[in-house]
Amino acid sequence: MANPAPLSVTGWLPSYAWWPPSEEYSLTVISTPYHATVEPEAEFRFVLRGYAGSVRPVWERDLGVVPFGRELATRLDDLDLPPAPEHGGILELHSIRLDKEPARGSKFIGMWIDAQGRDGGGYLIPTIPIQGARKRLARDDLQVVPGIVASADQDSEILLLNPTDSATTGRLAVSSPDGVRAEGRPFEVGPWSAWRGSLSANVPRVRRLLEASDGVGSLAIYTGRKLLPFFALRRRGEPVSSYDHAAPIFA
Amino acid sequence: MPPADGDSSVLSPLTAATDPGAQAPPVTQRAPVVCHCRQVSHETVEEAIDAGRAASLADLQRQTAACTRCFGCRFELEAMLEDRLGPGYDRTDVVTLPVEEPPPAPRRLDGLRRLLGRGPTPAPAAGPLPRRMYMPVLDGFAGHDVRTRVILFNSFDERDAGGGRRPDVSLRADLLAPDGTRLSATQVNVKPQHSAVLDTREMMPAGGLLAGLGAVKRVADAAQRGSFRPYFHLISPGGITSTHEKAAPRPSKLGTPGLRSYFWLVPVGYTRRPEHSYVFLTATQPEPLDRHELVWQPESGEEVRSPMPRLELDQSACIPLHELFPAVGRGDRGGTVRIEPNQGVPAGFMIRLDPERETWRIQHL
Repeated sequence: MANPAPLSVTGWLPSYAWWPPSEEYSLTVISTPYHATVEPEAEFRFVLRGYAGSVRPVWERDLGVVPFGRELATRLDDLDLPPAPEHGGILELHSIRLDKEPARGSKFIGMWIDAQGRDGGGYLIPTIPIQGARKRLARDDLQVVPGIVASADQDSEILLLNPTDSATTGRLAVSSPDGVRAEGRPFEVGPWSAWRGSLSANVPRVRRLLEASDGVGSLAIYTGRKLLPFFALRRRGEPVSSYDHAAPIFA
Repeated sequence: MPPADGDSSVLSPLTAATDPGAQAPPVTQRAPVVCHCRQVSHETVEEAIDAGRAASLADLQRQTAACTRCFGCRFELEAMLEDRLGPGYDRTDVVTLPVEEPPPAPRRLDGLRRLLGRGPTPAPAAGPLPRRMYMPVLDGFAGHDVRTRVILFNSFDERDAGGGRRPDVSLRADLLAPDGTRLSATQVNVKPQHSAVLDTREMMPAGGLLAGLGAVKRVADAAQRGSFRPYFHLISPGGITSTHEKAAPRPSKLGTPGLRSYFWLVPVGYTRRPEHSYVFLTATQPEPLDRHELVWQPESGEEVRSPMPRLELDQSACIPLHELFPAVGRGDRGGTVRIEPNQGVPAGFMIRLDPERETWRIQHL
């Protein structure tokens, strides 16, 4: 496979999002220099890649060179892509500034995903990096979600992206507002893979735990090392109405 | 709100609401203090104004230490100045720390002040400034069945204990009207592994929010809990959508012009159904967001510009992009709406509504 922008030729690091099954969502990737700089001489190359369990991408699309003042809104539906895995894969957006190498601090340029559910709902989310962020983490084994929901008519969907070369473990622990905890079994997240599961299916008795708080609690996601965790909320039988990233514990 | 018992996180309103039967526009009952951060009473402020020692917000900051931390009482103090001084009130549109520190009052006068019912000498405006974080509150906005709750989780565990972090977290949640006025203040203490769930309706005055809009401002004490970030839910018949707060600039950056190296923007993807699209902004810096424009630019490159409302610190607006730029609502063109110039740090959120399904989508800028 041609690789027009290998990591070896640029210091700019890629950022990531979920590559969802195409029958569930219609995705637009917004690639815009305006989200990276105010310098009119700036020039960028944007490359999209899809991963499904291997460091080698299953597809790659070079979106070309985009000067400051222009921007791209790329529909994945228009790219003639192979199908994503059942629970989705990893979408890599490599934003490379051509006229300048990254300085100290942030070494990635995040962009945006506007996803609309085929049956309604959807989400808006920035692409985020696995490395190269400026903020320092206090912990790389934990991220949290204040405000997950598990009740008779609502559930939460957890998504973990592992854009690294080795598998690691994950474990979900839910706390009720008054501090009572329930934990799920550890599970494995394969390399360059997405793990997806509902909260009620992965944390025993979670609905009962949160019964007294209208189904609302908080989630701790423990992982063997840093991953990219997300959560979504959905009314049972209805499409997802948000996807957002979990909160890292910053130093 | 969860019960405030010994095991739960504690939430206590610092400002009571008005008579539930009142039909008047929302107002709040006067709280014991006007400045919750520095614990400065109304009487202390009134005394400074009436004695001719304060004709401006900066004077009050210097004389009483009020409004020298989160700036949340700014509009209340300005109303008091205007009430008592009329045209003699010297208004400013930039709220920041006064140049001079307040003169240290002799501590020996504290006993006399207590006898006179005026409390102890105000604390000087020293000490670390708090980290402020902002979230939108939608409650009946534009006639829709939508409400908001805020959730805080203290994830402190045994591994954190070794890192010297404080187990409990204490913060204040202020409910702000779009004009920046503080409608209520709620103290929140969250024990390890506990969550605080704030139903914003319980923070509101009777009659709810004018225009169904407001903002919650988190004011936290401890710098080491800077990553203790609240998430919030917009709850509607179509489901729940969620994201987290947006922080104000770090206190060390107050007083700088807030020039960013890139633009705040709202991405606009192709959609198959028309949507309502909003950008919600709260001004978080002392300098107002002024003379800014929203610029819609589809992939084809042409630009359409629209002026943004002027916003002072703590003021919010929810701007209907689908009305300003109809193509954004139709969803047949992709591109971005950016904020120009690249100056200022608003707490920004993009909000979409599928009006048929009453399904909302939200994300921070």
